[in-house]
Amino acid sequence: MSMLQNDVSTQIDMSRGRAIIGRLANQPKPESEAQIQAKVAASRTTGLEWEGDSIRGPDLEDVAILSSTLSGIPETTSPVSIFRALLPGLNKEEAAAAYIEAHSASKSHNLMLERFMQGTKASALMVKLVLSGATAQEIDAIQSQTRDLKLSEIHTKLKDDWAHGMALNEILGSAA
Amino acid sequence: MSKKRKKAQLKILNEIRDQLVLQAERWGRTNYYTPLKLEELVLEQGHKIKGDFLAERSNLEYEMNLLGTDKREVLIKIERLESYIKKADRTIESHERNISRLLDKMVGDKQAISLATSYLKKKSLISVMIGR
Repeated sequence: MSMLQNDVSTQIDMSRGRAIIGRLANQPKPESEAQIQAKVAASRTTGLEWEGDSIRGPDLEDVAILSSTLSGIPETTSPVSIFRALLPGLNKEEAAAAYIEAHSASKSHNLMLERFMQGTKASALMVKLVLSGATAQEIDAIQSQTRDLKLSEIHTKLKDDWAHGMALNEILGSAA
Repeated sequence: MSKKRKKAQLKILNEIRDQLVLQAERWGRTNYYTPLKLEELVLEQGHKIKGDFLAERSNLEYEMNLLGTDKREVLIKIERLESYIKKADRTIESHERNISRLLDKMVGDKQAISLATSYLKKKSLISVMIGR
């Protein structure tokens, strides 16, 4: 009887020992300082900025600047007359680039800019493009490409700037 | 954030929206950015911001447990985040309500529509008289 009890107790001890060894093997090894720092750096990916104890609200000044750049107004403007744009050589690529810029600006929300660009500059540059050998299909392709690009830009700006700003303003504006 | 500042920011945001929608119309995308579409955009961003808050909370908890930094400061931030998350939930709910209200407006008279659909679903019955 005692032999049997001894056998059972040794079996239990062995199984306990195995369990402890297994637990020790499963335990994670202590991480080094560099690993911890790397993990912390990787965890900071939300892009939220803290100002003391509260999160910083939408930076609307930047948003306003971004919105106005979409209208096609370059940051540094140099007055170039239509005739000066038309006169030097008839390079197709250059003409196409200038036409794309003028065509984009012709859809500005600014009425005066839109009218001027549509009525004079874009039309003149289109003539230049035709004179440099561009076909009607090529001009159509340029126009449709510019349209797609600008529409996707507008959608992105509405989503990321306006809608994000609105939502953030609503959440942070009246949070207790 | 003061009420005055919030109002000024809303004014700027509305101006940006108007300009962008006008530009989209000038490029030929008319009647695309309806109030419903704009509400959907804000709702989508609300969900995204809530996700950011949740991620930030888990980051702070991780940082606090792992590094044992200034626990008081981190706890204050976590508490603040909790209130932001609750506010985000309320904002999301309000936008969802707005969307359902706009959809209801588009549907029109619900009773008349349910009556019409019931007429369409009704199958014609054929009565067969069997002579004795």
